[in-house]
Amino acid sequence: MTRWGMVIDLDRCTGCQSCVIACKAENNIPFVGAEQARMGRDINWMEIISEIHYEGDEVKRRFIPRPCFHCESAPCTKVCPVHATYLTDDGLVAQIFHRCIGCRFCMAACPYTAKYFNWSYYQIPDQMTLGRNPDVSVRPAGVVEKCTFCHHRQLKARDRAAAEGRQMMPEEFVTACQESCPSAAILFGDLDDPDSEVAKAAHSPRAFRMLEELGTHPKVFYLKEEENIDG
Amino acid sequence: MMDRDILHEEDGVLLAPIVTTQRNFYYTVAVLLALVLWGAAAYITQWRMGLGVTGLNQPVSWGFYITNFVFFIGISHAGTLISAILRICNAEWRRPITRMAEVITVMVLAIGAANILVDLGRPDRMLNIIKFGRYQSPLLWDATSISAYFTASTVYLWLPMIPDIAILRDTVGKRMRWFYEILALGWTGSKRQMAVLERGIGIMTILVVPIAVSVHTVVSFVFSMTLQPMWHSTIFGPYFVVGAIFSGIAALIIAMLIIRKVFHLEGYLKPVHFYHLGTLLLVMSLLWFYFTFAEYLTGFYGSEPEEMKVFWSKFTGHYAPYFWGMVVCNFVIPLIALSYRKNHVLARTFIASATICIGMWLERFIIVVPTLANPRLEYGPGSYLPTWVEWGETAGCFGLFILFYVLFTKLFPIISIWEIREGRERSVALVVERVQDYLPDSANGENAADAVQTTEQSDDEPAHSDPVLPEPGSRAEKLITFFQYFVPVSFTFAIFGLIYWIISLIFLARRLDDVPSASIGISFVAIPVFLTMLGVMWYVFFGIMRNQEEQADPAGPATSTEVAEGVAR
Repeated sequence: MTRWGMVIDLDRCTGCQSCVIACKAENNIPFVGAEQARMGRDINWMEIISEIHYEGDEVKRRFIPRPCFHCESAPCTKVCPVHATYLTDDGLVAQIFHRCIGCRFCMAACPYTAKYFNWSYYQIPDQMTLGRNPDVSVRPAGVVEKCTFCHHRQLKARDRAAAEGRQMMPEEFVTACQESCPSAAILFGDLDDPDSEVAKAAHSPRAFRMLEELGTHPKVFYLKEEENIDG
Repeated sequence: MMDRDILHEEDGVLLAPIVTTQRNFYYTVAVLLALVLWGAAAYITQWRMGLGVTGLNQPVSWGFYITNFVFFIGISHAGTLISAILRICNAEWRRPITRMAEVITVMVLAIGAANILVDLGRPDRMLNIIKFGRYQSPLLWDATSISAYFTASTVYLWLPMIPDIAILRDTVGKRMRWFYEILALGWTGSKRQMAVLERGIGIMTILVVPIAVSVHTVVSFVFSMTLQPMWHSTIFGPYFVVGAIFSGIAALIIAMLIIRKVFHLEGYLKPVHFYHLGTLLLVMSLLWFYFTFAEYLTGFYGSEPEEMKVFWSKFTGHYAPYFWGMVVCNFVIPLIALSYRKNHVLARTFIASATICIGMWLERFIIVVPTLANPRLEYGPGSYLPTWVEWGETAGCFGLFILFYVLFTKLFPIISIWEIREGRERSVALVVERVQDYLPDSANGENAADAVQTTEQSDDEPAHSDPVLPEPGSRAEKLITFFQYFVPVSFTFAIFGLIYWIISLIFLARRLDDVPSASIGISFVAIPVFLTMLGVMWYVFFGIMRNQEEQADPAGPATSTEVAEGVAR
């Protein structure tokens, strides 16, 4: 069974935000406008969190790209009243836009604040319409959305492989953020395949997961900066 | 003319608001309608434009609506629960209070539940909850528990009202007669009917208590089942229940004081009632403070960083005015006002109740918003500024609640007439008897209970005039018969529909292999509760009906209806 996962090397991340932009373009994420953004309503499936910490007199800043963590024991899927968010067989936390009733319980339950709500109908047709990705459905108002690990790319790769009468290779499925990362900080692949790059990186001594103590078992791993490793 | 006469009878003042209409009534209704219209305008705007018209945003995705939901469901514990507890304890002073309390529950529960629907981003997909419902979600527990409580408290409000509706049917003029005729179900007040009714009330009294406790427990579970800081707490269930009863009593006292003043019921709602309820309020205030203290001290002592972010935002940060306002309103002022109540009982309980209502609303707000505004990861704190839409909805909810209440007082007596009469006739004897039961035996071995001659039971009291029942075979009589069959049958369908729904959702969850399955157990509990309620409905409906068939032989009516007698004269 495949279990899709991601490893993000914080040592390589420069905080350039290209993954954020690539994700926005790939997944038809709406631009909410300045006024809505000021109210805190902008939508970023991939977001760079900047953490500031102090070491003596030194101020250090650390960039953490944050997609949806696709938790193995996801707090958001537990509370959904209508099966609109659920864990698929290959470990993705899926979102059914057309079933969601917009109660925002999953947003309240997500410890990572990785879910976003369409407060208004943001997908207004304009010149940008031509630039939209035809593989990703646009979201109506009043539903929750979040990172899908570019699920549509997986479907496409699988269909192509099926049409050519062969097994889909894991390399065929890459996410937009991974593709766009200039410093190759993002790895994506099958965590259950011990030979995959992602599985190896996930077992590295540098690997950690966000808020691991909550027991949500995220499938996104981070690699600590080298200087932060003790010993 | 006939109507006015009854006002001079004993207890006639209780019927006054129904028979006569003061000008103030229209003013009140107009003001309340304005509030409701504001709420309606706000909701129509929101329906058309989406939730974007509110002040909700990314980290703070729940705001006023969820606060109102928790608050109103909390107020609903005023009624049925308090009235049930007082009935179980045989508190004789309950008699003028129970009806007022029960009405609050029914009205406010509907409004509280509606707030969840207002909060939905896609109200048009509301029925997905029925079609694709997941019993693992606390929201479904809420739906089940609240519908059980709503059914139970409606039944529990209506049952003790039957004899009073019969009084109205027999006395109040022709215009509304059909309405009371149907609701009274051919009540004649015979011994048999009385026994049926009392048993029905008895079962409901017991049944309502666990349901009420479950309601606010599962409301708290909406928060405590998540992993969020200051929500994920084991004491949230009891904490919420205590807060609910607390705010419920406060709301009840305010309602009582207003009704007393407006309808001139000083003879029924005496200072002693407020004294007793004030004691209860004081106890709940202390209990609430104890829970708050325990909740915040454990968080503070453990001082988990994420928890502390929320903690400090409440104690010294952005939400400090609300937090300290809550402490002052819920604890400091009530403690001062209620500790010494020898003089000015009414004023003191009123001040305490009013501040508690504000304080408990703030408490709900302080639970919902700061946790969301301080997410675990470092996004920086979120802010929340409600817009006119949220204020409008809130005002509309309060307006609708009071409007329902006012209209209820226009249609039904707000104080239970037959229970007051029963109290006049029997409660002194009952209390004397009860006290004698536990008095120590006297020196010569004589049983204390035997020493006093058993006070005469009021079983063989004079029969009142004939109840004015519709002619056999008339249209009205047919309508009543239709109603008598229609209600239990539709109730049966509704209950079995609910049970079918619960079972099918459990199968759906099993089929999808959806964790955690333990939570499904909660839904099983609901089934026997609903069945019991169905049993009570059947029992009462058919019990009262059978009596009509036996009308041929004269069964002595057990309740005295002097009002009806007065009319007959």
